[in-house]
Amino acid sequence: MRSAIRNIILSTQRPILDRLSVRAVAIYSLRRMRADYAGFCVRVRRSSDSTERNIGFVGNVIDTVALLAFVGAGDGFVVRKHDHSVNGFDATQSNAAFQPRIVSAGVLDIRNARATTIYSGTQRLQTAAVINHPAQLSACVVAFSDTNSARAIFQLGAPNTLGSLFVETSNWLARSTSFTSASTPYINNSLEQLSVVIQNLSQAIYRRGVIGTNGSDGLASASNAVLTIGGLSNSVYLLTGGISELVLFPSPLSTADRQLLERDQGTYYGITVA
Amino acid sequence: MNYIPVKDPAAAKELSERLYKLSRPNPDPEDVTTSLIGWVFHPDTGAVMAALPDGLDLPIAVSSDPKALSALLTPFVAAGSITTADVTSIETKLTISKGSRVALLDILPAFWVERQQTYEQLKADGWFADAVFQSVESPSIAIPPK
Repeated sequence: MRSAIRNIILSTQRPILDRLSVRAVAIYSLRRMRADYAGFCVRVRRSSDSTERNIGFVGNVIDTVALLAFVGAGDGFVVRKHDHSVNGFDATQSNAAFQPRIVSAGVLDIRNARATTIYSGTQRLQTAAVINHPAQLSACVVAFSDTNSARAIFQLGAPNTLGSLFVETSNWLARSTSFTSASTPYINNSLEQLSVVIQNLSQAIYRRGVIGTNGSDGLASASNAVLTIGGLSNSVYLLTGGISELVLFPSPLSTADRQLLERDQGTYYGITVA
Repeated sequence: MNYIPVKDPAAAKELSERLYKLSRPNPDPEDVTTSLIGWVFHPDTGAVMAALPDGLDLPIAVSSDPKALSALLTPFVAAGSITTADVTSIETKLTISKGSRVALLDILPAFWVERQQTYEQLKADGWFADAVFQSVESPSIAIPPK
């Protein structure tokens, strides 16, 4: 009994992605979600002199003391979201005008008491490497939009080929191709935990752990699987809102894995998840 | 956001990169950022406009080259659109601004600034067509519960 209790305690102390049965293909977060990840959290440019610096972690959370000390009284912008998986699919933005903000006038951008990255309609990051994609995808996201239509959190591949999560006509939508997307109601400016499970001919979207209306898009094709964060790959649907966390999996998550991650994201970000 | 016409995407990219080098003339090898401003295309004509964020100012590095923009201005001098005195004035502003910040519009020739257009003006001229992505969505989207 004592051993069982100890194991339970130990398991709850391990970062969430170490407790799932599958490996994420890409992880973009402001916390460490895998114990083995020893790299940086994000690379940031400061507005005062355009110097850039990698920011790491304190414990399993972005080192906000180092971040704020580096940025000073100005603004800080994310130029590289380090991929915290084993794959190195870093998402970058080389144009200063398109970099999401993480510090505003010396103050950390936060949502629900946690650090976040802010997008104001022109920002997006992309991976240089192509993510191998077997025409199925899961994603667990913590994000918000302050506009109820034509705003995207991410897209994998070219429009209507592989997978995307976006807001349109007051719904959050998950789509692979272009027939009927999965949908769930959108609440303006509300930090949400959203999960997307895309398989061939079947798509599901969950908001706060509750399934929405399933989709029935066509067969996803695995071409040009560059990941765009904060918009679509053709630079439309650019987000006005924020993204705190995005985790991608190359397969449909099991219910158990999905719920474990959803509840962890809910607990961490102060979102009520079923 | 205001916009100024540029010749083509290559010219917009060069302007953006030269402006950024004023702030970061000696980048670290790990640096990601290489350019300062974006640009937009007209969906029908392919014309290009550089996008100038409202109130943008930029830090001018002490080691920056005050002539960084001069090569871009030479064709305009040759065409009679601006004078060599205009170019010298910009170089002087960049020299005296080293170690401080300068408004972007203060280091662009008046000939360019006078041609600025607003987002609304460009939109009226068809620069920002509705996204294609939207038009292919199925009509069977779920209606949110009341």
